[in-house]
Amino acid sequence: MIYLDNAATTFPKPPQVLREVQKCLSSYCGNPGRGSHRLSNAAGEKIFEVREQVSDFFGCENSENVVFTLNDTYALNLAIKGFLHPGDHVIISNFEHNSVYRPIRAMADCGLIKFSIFDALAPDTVGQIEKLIRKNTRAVIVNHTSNVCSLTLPVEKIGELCRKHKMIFILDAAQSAGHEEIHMEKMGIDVLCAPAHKGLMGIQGCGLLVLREGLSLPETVIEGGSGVNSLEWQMPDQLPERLEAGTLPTPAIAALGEGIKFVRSVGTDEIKKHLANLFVLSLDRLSSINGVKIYAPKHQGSTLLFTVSGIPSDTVAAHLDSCGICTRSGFHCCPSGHNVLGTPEDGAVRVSFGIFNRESDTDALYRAVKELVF
Amino acid sequence: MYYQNCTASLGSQTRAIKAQHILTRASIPCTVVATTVQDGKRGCGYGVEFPCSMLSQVKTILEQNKVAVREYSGGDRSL
Repeated sequence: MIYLDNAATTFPKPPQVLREVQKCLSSYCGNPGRGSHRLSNAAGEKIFEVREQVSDFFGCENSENVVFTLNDTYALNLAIKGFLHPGDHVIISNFEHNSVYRPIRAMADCGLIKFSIFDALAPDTVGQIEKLIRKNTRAVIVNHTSNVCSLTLPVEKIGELCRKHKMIFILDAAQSAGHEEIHMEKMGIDVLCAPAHKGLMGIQGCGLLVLREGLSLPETVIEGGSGVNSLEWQMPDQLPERLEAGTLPTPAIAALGEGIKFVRSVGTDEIKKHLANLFVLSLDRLSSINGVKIYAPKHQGSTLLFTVSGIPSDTVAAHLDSCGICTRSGFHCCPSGHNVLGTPEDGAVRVSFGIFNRESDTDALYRAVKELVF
Repeated sequence: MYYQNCTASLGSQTRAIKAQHILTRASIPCTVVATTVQDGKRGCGYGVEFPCSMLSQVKTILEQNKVAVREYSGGDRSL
């Protein structure tokens, strides 16, 4: 099998990640922050250790600002609904995943907020955003790297703009965490949301919400047990527990810790280079096939989107699957991006590379796609 | 050998473990403990227990490391 759906979730995982999950489940998986017996403390210790790793990896000053969630979508919802107030205006790009677009749209439909959309493919990103700023613009929310194509936005410049206009900068790093160098302080990121199971090489069941030190406390969206002040009616006012209602996914958090160590051992620059090389090889090969159209080819990254003339994207992906190649067809939870790229009717096929893919995988992809057009 | 213990109430387990790491690095023996009342907030919570003889050092170190302590109290257990 050749796995080319790493934008959905990376596969396989490094062996040390699997070993840590097994170790966790067999030797220290108590309920962290609940009680103070040895197993609860051992789980709490592991979670603290991973919080420190995450804050260090993303350039966040205080590990207490690292909030573990169930996934990136939960993190984004906590950020969006926790920081936006009635009457606020927010700016997003036209390449947002539904995990941003839907909560924003739901709040707007209730009359709570208003939003504007900028064109992420336009050359002057910052200028595009600046034109949309209003007096009540509270936040800018952008997808660092698109999950549809290889578009990556200039985060540092957007961060600078947000600081200048005192807007909260919320970054969805679903596709970039582990593939791009991200430093919250240096890049002016106020809120970073990311999944553990993609570029950070953890497993499913864990996401991250990382808040810049000094940011005001967000409102809670989910309330429940926190292991702190349990006789009080309100959630605690200290992070991370304020935003971590319910039991944490300790095995997935432990896996994330090993995933980050793995990413660090390879280096994000090396990973990026490797993925870009696979992208370019595939771009060259697929472009040479009559009837194959590549979308946003000027941008280099880990995700390549294409269609085959006259063949529905589902059929192409099913054919590739029959050849042992896993890709994803359709709209990738990003209808707006597909609209912009001109694939709103049938979607397209997405190939997304991971650290364990090899150049030979691009040969196999080329051969399998070529079979379709003859 | 027995010591009179004191407790720094810190709220969450996260903050208690953080304090424990910082104090351990400074060679101050301490343990994470569960507490039930902290600075008027009722219910479960966590703190670190340490020899009362080291109270002033603990206060200084935690303050230097920006660890917010809810309250200090005298303990009745021995390390």
